[in-house]
Amino acid sequence: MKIVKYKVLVILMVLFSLLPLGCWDYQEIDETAFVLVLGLDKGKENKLTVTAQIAVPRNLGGSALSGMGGAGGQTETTEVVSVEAPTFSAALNMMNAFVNRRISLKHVKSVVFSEELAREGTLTYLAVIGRFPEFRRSVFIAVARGISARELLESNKPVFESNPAKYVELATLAARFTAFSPLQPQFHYFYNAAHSQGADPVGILVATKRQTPQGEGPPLQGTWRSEGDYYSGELPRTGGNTPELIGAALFKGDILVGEINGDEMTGLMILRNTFEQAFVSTPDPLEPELMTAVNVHMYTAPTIKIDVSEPIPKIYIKVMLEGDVLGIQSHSNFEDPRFRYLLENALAQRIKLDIIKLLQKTQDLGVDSAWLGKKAKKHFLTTKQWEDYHWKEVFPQAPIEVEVIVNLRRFGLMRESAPHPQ
Amino acid sequence: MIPEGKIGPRSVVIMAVLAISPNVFYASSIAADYGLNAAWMVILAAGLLALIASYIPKKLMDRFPQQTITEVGYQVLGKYLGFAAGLMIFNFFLMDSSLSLRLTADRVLTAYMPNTPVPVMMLALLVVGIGGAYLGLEAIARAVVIAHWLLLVTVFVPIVLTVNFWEPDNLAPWLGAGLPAIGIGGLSMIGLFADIFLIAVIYPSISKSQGGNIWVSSVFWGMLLLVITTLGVQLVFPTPVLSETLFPLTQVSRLVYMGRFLQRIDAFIAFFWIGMYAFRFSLVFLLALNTLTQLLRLPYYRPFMFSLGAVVFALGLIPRDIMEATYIVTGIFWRTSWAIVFGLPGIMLLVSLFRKGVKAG
Repeated sequence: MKIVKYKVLVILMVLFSLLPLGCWDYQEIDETAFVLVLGLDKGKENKLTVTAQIAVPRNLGGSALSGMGGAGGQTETTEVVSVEAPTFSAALNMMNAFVNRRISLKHVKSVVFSEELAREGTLTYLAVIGRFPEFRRSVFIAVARGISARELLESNKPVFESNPAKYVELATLAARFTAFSPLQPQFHYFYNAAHSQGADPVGILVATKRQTPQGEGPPLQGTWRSEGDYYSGELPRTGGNTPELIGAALFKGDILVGEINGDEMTGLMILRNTFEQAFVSTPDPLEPELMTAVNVHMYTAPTIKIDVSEPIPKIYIKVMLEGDVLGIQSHSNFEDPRFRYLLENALAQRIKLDIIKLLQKTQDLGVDSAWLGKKAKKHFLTTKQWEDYHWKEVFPQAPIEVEVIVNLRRFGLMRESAPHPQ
Repeated sequence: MIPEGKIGPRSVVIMAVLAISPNVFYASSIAADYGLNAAWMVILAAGLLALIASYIPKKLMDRFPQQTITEVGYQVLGKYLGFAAGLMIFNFFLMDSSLSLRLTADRVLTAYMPNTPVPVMMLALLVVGIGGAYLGLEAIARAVVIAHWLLLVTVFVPIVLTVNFWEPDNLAPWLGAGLPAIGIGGLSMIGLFADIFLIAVIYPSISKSQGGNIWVSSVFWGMLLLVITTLGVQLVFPTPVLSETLFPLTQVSRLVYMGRFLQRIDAFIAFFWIGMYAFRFSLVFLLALNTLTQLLRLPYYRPFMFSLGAVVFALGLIPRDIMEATYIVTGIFWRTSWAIVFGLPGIMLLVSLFRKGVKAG
């Protein structure tokens, strides 16, 4: 009898958890318009232009069934709608005047700001993400470079994916092996950093491919140009998806103040310990007109020492990287320990320069995008002591010393480079 | 004493911890107001204070092992003062039930079902509470023993699965608002552990042959649960963001994102959390019924189930909104419940020690 009693109670609990779910808050999937990407621009006829890229589930399903499918197929998998409204939430209401399905933000993957709007401040609009239950803090924050967010979304027709949500995720996660764009672009990090005394946010920098055809851009100055020495919208390329992600947008608090290129982004990822790996090219130290390529990855988290005993902090950063040689155009024998250090030093110098350029830029802009303040605050016992140090005011004046060490560990499938046949 | 089956000390500790456990959903946010980056230390301080203070009701109940706290009040304080003490104890559980009902409904609706009316959710929870109370203490205890692992594990699941969002730097500066503020916070939040008072209400039903200090164990495990979850939440949210968040642990669960294939698990977890709320409400509602029956010196509580259920429901509707309900719990109930949980037994203990004619049970 006793066993029956508690079994009844358990069943009652389970039923209670299930029952209320179905009555008021049900939402039929085929009556809902799931927004995948949102774009925000300054309005012309009203305060704000809100653009939504909405999934067309029937076409998404069809494309998936037909293998690769995608925008190259016959049907559009998304519909882009835009409206000018006084507020963000008002725009959603207004959209439902011409979208018959109820707009839902439960599957939003990314929010894109125009540069113009981002320079006025983003939290005015992003605050809704922290409050509105339909949003998640894993939404990516991006800035459209040189183009409006609406135009960017209209041009967002992924070539390799039928599902734009998957495209957004894969395009962003490519930073794991390119280190060209932020690997922590989520609203969570953005919002936390915007509210922090020891950090400033970074967003994805996205643009459409440049109008100038490949080969007709500015001619090469010197013998080479680094693969990361570009901003979104500048890559000399043909084909692929229309949007491109390289570099990042720097914010001071919630206001866009600058941008960094792909190389500087790599430096930032190294300092923030989010760097995983990237192919890095550098001139051959023995034959500078030829190039070498190395797959670089972290050896340990960077050592960051900050001396806060003086009013102006002193910062020392030590970065230890490992590399796998991918290519040596000169056929120099860098596998030999007698020459290896030359290539290691050349790589270290290149990466150090990227880091220094990045830090110089952030100090000039007065932003702590590398989140060095988070390390500095460990030296304080109480929050008041930390606040009284006024980190954001003194950080731009801080002398920073950077040391980079690269150790080459693997050399591919070759034991030693044979001399060039000529 | 109301006739109930005997339950073991382990079951009692589990019930007490499960009664304390719903505090994990918002304790960290309140603690951050007091201790800033040292929010977890505030919870630890509150727990340590509760550990020390739990000696008072333990000492009292050990002197009267065959009586409930209300019956001890009658015996020690006399007819009129004993009634007043019993009324305060009943009022404590009545408030606990009503606020639990309202806050649970508000939390679930805010986070998961924004279009469902609050009274509907409260009514659903009340049905479970009345069902649990009808089945009695032993049934609740056994059900809790069976389900507690599952319910408590789901508290840790989102914290573990957000490991990619952990930032240990969020804990620095280590002393946050400073030691005095941590101490004040600890005192103000001692009410987090007020639910251990249930031990005093069901004391005669506890099988004491197996030994162990159920008071200390209840506070200790409750404290461990709260400190670990607060630390987990702090690793994810920096202080200013933690302070402004209404349900930090719920937000953590909504953040789970481990690639394309492991995300959006919050709806699954919520299922268990609602179960946890339901258990807690069943328990405190039963305790309210028990203390009312003991106050009126009646042998059965079941005749009161529906009438008290209506009162609890009506009282639960009084707070104007979720903010007011939250304030009543965190700003008033947590700050003042020590007077009932530790103060009242302290007075009874002193009187029983010094007043002639009071015999230990």
